[in-house]
Amino acid sequence: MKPAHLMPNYHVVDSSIVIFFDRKGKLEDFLRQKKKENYNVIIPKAIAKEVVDEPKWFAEKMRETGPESANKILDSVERINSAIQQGLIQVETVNYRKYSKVIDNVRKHLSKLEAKPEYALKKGDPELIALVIQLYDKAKEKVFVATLDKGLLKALKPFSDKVEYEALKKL
Amino acid sequence: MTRFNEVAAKVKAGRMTFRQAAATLGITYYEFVSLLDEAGAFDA
Repeated sequence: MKPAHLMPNYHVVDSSIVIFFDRKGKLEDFLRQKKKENYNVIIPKAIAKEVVDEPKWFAEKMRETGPESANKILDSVERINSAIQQGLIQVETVNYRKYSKVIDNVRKHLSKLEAKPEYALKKGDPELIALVIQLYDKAKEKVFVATLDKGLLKALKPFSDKVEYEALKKL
Repeated sequence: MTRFNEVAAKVKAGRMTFRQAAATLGITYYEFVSLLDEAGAFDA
C-alpha cells in the first residue's frame, strides 16, 4: 500500500449532495475543496444517471410547458456533467457479481422500511453502499460518505466499520 | 402537496430514503431534492 500522505481518500457522494451544491452554485467549489483535502470524489454509475440522464430527460419533457425551469435544469446537468468530464467527480462501476450479497441485503433492509417489494427499489441506494464496500476492500481504509439522506445513513449503519459519514446538513 | 408533506416527514425521520420518496411520488430524484430545497428542508 502507498504511504498515506500520497494516497487520496475515497469520498463517495450521494446525488443529494451534488444537486444541493449545484442549486446553491457551489458544486465546483465543493469539489475543488475536496480535491485540495486529498479526496477522490466518487459516485457509482446509477448516481451519474440520476444527476445527468434523468434530469435531462425530465427537462426535455417539460421544455414546452415550462421552458424556464427546463433550461435551469439543463444548465445544472451541464455543470454536473462538466465536473465529471473534468475528473472532479469520478464515476465508478460496481462489481455486481462480487457484491451481490451486499446489494441484496441493502435491498431487503430498504424494502422493509417502506414495505415495498425489492424489485421496486431504485438502484442508487444499494449501488452507493456496494461501492463504499468495494472501495473499502480496495483501500482497506474507511470510506467517507456525504449525503443529506437520513434513511440512506440508516442503511449504512451495519457497515460502520467501513464507512465514515459526513453530516453536511441536517434535515 | 399533502402527499409530498407526508413523504417529506418520513424522509425527515429517516423512515424512507430520498429515492423511495421520489418513487412514491412518481417523480425523479432531482425533482424531489429540488422540492425539498424549495421547501426549506436543508436550511440550517
